[in-house]
Amino acid sequence: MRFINFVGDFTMSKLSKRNFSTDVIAFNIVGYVLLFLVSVICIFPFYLVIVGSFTDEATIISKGFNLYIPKFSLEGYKLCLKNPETILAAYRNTIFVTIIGTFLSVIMATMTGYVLQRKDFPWRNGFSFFFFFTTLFNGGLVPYYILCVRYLGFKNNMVALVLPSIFSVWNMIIAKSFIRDIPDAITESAKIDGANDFLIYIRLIMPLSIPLIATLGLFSALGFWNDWYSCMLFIDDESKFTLQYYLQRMLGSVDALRKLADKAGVPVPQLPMESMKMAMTVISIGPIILVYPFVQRYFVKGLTIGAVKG
Amino acid sequence: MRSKRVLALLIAMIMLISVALTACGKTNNATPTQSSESNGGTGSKEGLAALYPEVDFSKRVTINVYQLGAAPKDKDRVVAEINKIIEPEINTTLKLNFIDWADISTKYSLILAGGEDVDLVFTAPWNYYYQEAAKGAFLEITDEFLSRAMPQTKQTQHPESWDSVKINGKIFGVPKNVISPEHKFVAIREDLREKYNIPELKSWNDYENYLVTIAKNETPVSGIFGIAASANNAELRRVWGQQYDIFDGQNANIGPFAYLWNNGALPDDDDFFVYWDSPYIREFCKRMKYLAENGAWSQDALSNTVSDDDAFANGTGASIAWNGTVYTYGKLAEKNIPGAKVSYWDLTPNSRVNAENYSNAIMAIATASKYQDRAGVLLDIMKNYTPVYRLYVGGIEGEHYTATKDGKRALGPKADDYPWDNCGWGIRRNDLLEQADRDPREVALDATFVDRMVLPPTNGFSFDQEPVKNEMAAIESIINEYQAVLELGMVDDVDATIDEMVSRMYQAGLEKVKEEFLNQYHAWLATR
Amino acid sequence: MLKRSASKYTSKSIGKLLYENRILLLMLLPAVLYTIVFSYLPMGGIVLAFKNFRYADGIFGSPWVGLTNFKFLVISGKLWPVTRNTILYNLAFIIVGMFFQILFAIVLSEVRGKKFKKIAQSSMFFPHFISWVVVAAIVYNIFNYEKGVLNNILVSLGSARVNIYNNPDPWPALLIFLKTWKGLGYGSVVYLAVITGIDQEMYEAADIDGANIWQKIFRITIPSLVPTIMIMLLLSLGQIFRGDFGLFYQLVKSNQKLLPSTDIIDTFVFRALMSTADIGMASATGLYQSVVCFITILIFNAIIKKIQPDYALY
Repeated sequence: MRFINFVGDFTMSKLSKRNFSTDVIAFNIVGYVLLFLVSVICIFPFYLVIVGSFTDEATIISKGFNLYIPKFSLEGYKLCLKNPETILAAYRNTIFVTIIGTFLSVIMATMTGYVLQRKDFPWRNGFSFFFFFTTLFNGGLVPYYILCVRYLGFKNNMVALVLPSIFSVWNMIIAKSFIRDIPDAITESAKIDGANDFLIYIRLIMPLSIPLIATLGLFSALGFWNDWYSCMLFIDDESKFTLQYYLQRMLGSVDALRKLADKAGVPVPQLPMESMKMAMTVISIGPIILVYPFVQRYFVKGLTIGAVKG
Repeated sequence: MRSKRVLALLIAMIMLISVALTACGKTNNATPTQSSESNGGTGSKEGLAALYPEVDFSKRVTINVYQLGAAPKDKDRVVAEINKIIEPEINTTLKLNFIDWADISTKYSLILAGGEDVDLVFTAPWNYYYQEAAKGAFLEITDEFLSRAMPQTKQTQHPESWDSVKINGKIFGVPKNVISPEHKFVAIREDLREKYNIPELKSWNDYENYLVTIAKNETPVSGIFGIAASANNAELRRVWGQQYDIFDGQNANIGPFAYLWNNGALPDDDDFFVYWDSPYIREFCKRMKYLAENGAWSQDALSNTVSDDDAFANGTGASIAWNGTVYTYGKLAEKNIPGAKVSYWDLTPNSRVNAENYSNAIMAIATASKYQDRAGVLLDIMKNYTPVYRLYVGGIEGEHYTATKDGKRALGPKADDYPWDNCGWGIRRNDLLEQADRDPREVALDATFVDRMVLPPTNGFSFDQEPVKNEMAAIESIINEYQAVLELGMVDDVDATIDEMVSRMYQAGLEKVKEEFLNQYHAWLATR
Repeated sequence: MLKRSASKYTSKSIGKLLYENRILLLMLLPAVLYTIVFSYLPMGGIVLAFKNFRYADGIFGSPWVGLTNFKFLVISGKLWPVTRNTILYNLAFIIVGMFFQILFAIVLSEVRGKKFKKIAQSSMFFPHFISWVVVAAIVYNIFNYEKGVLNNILVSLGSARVNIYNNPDPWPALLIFLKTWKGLGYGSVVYLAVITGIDQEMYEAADIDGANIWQKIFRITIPSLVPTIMIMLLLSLGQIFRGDFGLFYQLVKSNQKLLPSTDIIDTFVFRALMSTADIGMASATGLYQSVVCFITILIFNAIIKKIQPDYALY
């Protein structure tokens, strides 16, 4: 009897703590169903891609995508990983560029965003427009290329992979919006203590913006990881290739050559294109898909204001 | 104070990083592409420099050559061998660069515009020769320049070859020195032909018969299409056009117009017609509709993501049409598909055969080049001096290729490291060693092409689209819109669709283009 | 201690203001330098839209040709249809996309079960990594007439086959679905980050007041998201005349039957300039898109500023 009471009390206390009322249950059910559906819709195509990457080329061409592997083959992977030294170098280059790029990019976005949300900064609207305008108008590829190659010495220079992407107006605007939500009272009291703006930024704003940093870090990391365009424009030296460009090029080569081969009179290399495309997708996702779960832990409520108030 | 230390630490970190980045940049820029001022060696064995008395060889110069495609693995070794020859002779170092196929559409223009060191560059009508020349990217090759820097080429280059690269009477690049037959024909599954007792393919109608028979009998059973068309049927259109010996924008560079072969005579104004408006092409589109309705290819061929050649090589298509590339796919099909045999048929055995024109591969000298004369000399040597020619085209003899006794060539032990002719198209000439183990079917068929080979009668005239480029851009986009559906027979009423397309072309200024075209043609005629 | 917001309201000199804000200005310096070098310096290239570019003359020496480079856009007669398509599709992408991104951000933040949430969140990211080329191949596999998965199912159920590649009607819905699917994981991250930053005390107070979960979502979560929503909306509107080339090109290719309902500015221009690679005309197109985007954003930012200045972009 006492035991049953105990169980009853225990359960009730747990239930009331977690607020297990009908609306929450209803919400959770609906939520679970939605999440389940969405996960299926998102994972399923990727599953097809994985299966396809291990399938032999002829089967993909004749039967299309399948739910299981009819004829196992590693040709797609073998082709992508054909030059182990190059691939390793490409991985290394990409990781290097991504880490440095993300670090700089997050600092640039948050620092600039912080300044522009300060209501007491006289020229914030002017500067905001100054930055935003660049997302509208663009001089085109030729002047950009001439600037970078002729005047900035970007040719075959790893700097070219990092520098052009370290400031994103988009990220800065997100940072500005997020930081604005941090109550002024906190910064005011720091000012009274004599801290300067930069210190406030480093020691107060940043720690309070963990979800923001996680978000921007994620976006920047993805951006650098996936970027093959800068590599295509500026890098000729194979040892400096990034992963995405290396893979893209293999595929794009054959594709482009096919269209031109007629006129060029050049033999088209026989590559298992379809399974290669799949293998490429899988290889290039690799590490980055592990970053996201790592970053997820920062999307926890109460990390910001609550922590401060406490 | 702690805050100051943190600040200092941060600034130091940022500085360190930027120094690291620029240091990386600097060390990687170690090899200068500019010439070093060291005076080159003496001792010219072959006396090559003596051929160019007016050119100054006192400075050591690096010539940057840009080719298309993927850089071969042994590029550096072969280039080193070439440099061993040319450095003592003409005090020049060759530097070979590649623009990958995938990057051409973006990078080709940029490299010419961007201020990098470019001296020699490959070009062709299908690779922006006309467009870049119009922007002034290439040096005009004058008679005087040839005499001074390329005397050997001046002698050895076939006269018609210069015609094929003339733009308004001026020459902006040096074409290759050989033409070869470029005929479009079909490869089919011989085993299927035998299975259904389809007669040999000697004409277009025979081919239609083959397709329809396959569609009726084989497709419902195994899903193999007569031709697993994908995205378009442009090659079939070329085969069809061969029946009438049509010369059009693709083989005679005359924009949207065309004319028929008339024993080599130059066409009159009235002989020109609008290619897509002609009875020949209308008939072709109707045949395509007929074939589509009879199931020769998938209803969704337009959006098919697998190419017809891949389909053929993997057994889902029963034929393909193309040029000599079909042999590669034929071999693959025979390898991949159990029981498959492939046969090759010329559907237009009595037609003229197009020549892969001289202009199809051109080496141009960039106007931005700082060493135009030296670039010309190097090109002259590459084209005419056999040891350098062989190295550039084939690599190191014995390793990348071996010359067989009967004047042909075979693959060397390291053939993959420097594939034959992977960058030598611009300097091709007659004595290109033939591959020893060519498929006998290929040899037989090719033999029937050589005698029928002709250059377009209007060779030497090319339609300069610059004055009407806006109209042409609009017209091009209209053609691109309709081309695929017409070629795949997916329209309800062929004539009505073509009428619609043509009327839109006229609205976009086709009349004006015609006028400009005829004016240019008359001007060219007057110079002959 | 509040500083005034503009010098015109105070008697302070510019010099004093600059000095007072020196640290903030210094913090802006890297971004300003970057922007000048990488965005404003090359912007001079916009003049190429009005010039006939010749290498020897360079960008600034090449001859002016007025509006000729824009002609091809107009004479084709397709400028308005493709512009209309671009705008409509982008609007649909924005509205549908944002709706689902916010929906899933809220669901992810409120639902229990950490492990399942992590899996769902990660899986929502996969589509981002699948290129449109591969997506087109998958879609083709599902919908193609002879061997597609959909048609196989229909046939086994006794119905007739459907050919969506000949029929322009289902495409807008399909394209909107694909775009939303691809951007779901990526786009919901921002909203999720904002939600996690909401002051938990408000929820606790609502609990004490006896609010149920729906009320909490509609009265606390969503209002807290409004500033972010407005910013994302404005940013997206600023790109409304620029289409997702990869999506439209890979999925539709040159299928003339589908073009009336799926052709956008970017694909149309690509087809026109494919063989010419004309720099002036490409520049002209870019300028056309930039100008109309600019006008759009000027209008909308001004409207937002009147309603709630905090939400404006500048």
